[in-house]
Amino acid sequence: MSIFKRIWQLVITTSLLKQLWIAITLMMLVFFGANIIVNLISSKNYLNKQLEMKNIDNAVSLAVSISQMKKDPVSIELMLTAEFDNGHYHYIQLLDPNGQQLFARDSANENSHVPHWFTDLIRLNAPPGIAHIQNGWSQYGTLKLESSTNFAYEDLWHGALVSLAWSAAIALLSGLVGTLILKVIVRPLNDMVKLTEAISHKNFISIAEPKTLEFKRLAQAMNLLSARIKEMFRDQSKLLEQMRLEANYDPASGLMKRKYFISRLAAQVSNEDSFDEGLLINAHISNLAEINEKLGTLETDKFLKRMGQALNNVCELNSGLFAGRLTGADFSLFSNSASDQESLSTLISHVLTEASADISAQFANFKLAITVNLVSKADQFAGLKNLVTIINESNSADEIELLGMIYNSDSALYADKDEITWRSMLSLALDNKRLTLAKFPVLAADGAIIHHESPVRLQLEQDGAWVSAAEFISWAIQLDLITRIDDLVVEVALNDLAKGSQPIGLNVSTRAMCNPLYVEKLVSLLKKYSAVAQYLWLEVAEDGVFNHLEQFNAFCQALKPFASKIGVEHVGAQISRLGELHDLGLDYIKIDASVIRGIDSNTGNQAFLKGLCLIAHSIGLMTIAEGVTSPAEKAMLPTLGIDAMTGPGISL
Amino acid sequence: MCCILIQYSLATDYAKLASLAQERYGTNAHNTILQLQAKINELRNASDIEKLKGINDFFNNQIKFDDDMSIWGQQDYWATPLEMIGKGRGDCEDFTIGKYVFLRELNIPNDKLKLTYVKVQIGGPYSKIFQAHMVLSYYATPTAEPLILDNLIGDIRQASRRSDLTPIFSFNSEGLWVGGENSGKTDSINNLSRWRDVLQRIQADGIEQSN
Repeated sequence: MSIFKRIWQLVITTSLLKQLWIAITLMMLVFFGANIIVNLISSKNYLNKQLEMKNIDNAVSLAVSISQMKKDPVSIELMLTAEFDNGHYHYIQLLDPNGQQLFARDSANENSHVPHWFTDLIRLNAPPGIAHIQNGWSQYGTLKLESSTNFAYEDLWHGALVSLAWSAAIALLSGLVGTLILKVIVRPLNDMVKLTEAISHKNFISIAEPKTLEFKRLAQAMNLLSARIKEMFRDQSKLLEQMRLEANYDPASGLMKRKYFISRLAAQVSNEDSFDEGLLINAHISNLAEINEKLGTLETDKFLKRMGQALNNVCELNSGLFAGRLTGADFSLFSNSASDQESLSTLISHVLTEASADISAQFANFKLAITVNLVSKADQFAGLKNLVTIINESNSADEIELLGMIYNSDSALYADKDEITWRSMLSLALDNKRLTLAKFPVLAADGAIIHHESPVRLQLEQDGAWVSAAEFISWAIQLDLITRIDDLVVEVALNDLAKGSQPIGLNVSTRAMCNPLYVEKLVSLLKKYSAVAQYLWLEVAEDGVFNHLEQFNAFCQALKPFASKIGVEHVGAQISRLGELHDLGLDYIKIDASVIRGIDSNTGNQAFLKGLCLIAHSIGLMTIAEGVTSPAEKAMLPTLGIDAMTGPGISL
Repeated sequence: MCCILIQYSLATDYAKLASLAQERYGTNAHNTILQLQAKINELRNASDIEKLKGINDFFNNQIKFDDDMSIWGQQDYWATPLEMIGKGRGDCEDFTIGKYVFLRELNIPNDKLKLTYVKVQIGGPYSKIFQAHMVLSYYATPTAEPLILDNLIGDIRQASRRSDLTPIFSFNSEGLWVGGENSGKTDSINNLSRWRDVLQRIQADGIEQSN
């Protein structure tokens, strides 16, 4: 009883598909089993009748013939032998009236392919045919014969085998058809399960409504839930964006605040991939204090608003431009391209002069000092430091430090090398796999290692220095060797992981993410190292994600099967679009240093970050702070909802 | 219980036979059955020879010889004793079957009785007129010369005294009543030989036979 219970438990807890197979197998067993048995029984009865008739008929016809013959024993023996040898008999006997045997033939060992258990089971038992032979009026004898049953058994056996084969084939076929039908029927259910699982992972996707009525209603309800949450998420993102604006933008002019401007500037200039040359245009109002004193705050704010509006208008028309109010009297605008230096500076000068026209009419000593500075890649650090000093005399050590942190690249060892040298250096380094990954830990609040940020290092000369990407990246791009580097980085990382390394975080450049060949290579490597794929953390910068959302989506889909972690780094500038990422199945976001920097003293950013972490957690994202420097920041961040931190202030 | 049942079932059911005769053929037939029953009871303990004579005379006297065509409207019809008694007429097979069945009823063993196809010479030893005919042969021992029960000649004679008859083939129900199991309850009529068919109908009339 308990065995049956356990089997039943097993059956009802197995998958629908297996249950179907069990049901079909049982059904077929019962159906065809019964069919075969009924068939055998009716065939057996039929064959028995036929055999009985054959026995009687043969006995009678033989007896009739022999009755007419002369009763010469040799002739009779010959006749019976001929009948036995040419017919199908089990035995033929001739007994005299006293029961003495006159003649007998018996095929004792009938050879047959039919197994004994089968003949024992069927047991054809047709009675023998009996007929009497007359010799005139006296009785000559009794003829008794039985036909051979071999053919009958073989027929039955063959029939049973054929039935069995057919039933197996039909069972298989119905199983396959049933499986197919069931798969079609439950496909929407699978979708539903996926949806539910996605929601339980805070991944609010929506699915196509299935045609089955019940599934359709369920899917509608769940899609509605998903949509509601999406909506909620969008609202929250907007609110956050509002907070970010308040925290980072100057209310009077509507331009970026100084810190934010410098962070953005730093981020632009430090973009190893895209930055070459830029322009920093600075406008200084000589007598703002006097203006404020004479006209009052209201009028001054109106003036500042006009100035800010003028600069923002220019920025809106040109992508790659942004403007900030660095101090009360300093307005700055940065362009990430230096190609139109002349026209841009003229334009800025023109719009600002226009915006300050009535002020300059009222104040004789009003002066707008516009300076234009070229920021080039070659002297990023020195140039910027210089520039910031120029634009802001009260520039604090803070900002110098900030810039220094971002640009602390090695002094250019190979700056003087030409293209041919670079090609051979890079090719050799790659051929010999002189590529390694630096390690910067990302730690949870409790000190546990989340992963190591692992920027690439190349050894360009045998036993030479390990240099960072800043040094070689532009040459690698120019010489079309960058894909080789990208591929090798992943391979080295996975290889390290396979050797037992702690989780590794890799920065995937926008360029690589958008390259289908790279994604393909990545997938094939992850397949090869599938056991450690879950320890690989891959992140794409925020602007890359939002500028190439479609490619990023494809990237996420391609990597989904491998359980590698996917994240967005440098999150901060486009919070309001964070909602667009909610259904990509992301694992984490890294929040840009420009938000983190000085968080302990910036209440506006604290509120913003708190909100951001809340939203991120609500869609199941881990939040990681970038560029954590000071112990105060490190202490404050976990209380705002940050899960893990990285930066100069974070080490093992 | 089982044994009693079998014994009971082997006994001929005269009540059934009589009521069937009454129902199908009327009072005359019914009375003939009753006379037959009385005759059987009277012969129950008699010698074989007396049994042969009693039964032979009973049928030869009660039944008028006729051919199947005029009785049944068929070329060749094997009637059961009930049918023959009902009609009051029968041809040679019907006589022979009737005598066989009731001699078996009187416990004369199967192997002593044979239904024999014979060629009969009509009109004396030099006649050229031959007819197909059937008689019942009685073998006192397996090798004995048989006694012939015929409806053409009233008294029972040794075979050697019937020079007008030439035997062709003999049979009885041996092998056909295998423990009653193959009595053909499931057979359709079409599957049966004429002989088995009539045996089955006899049984249906209420006359039980054993092997």
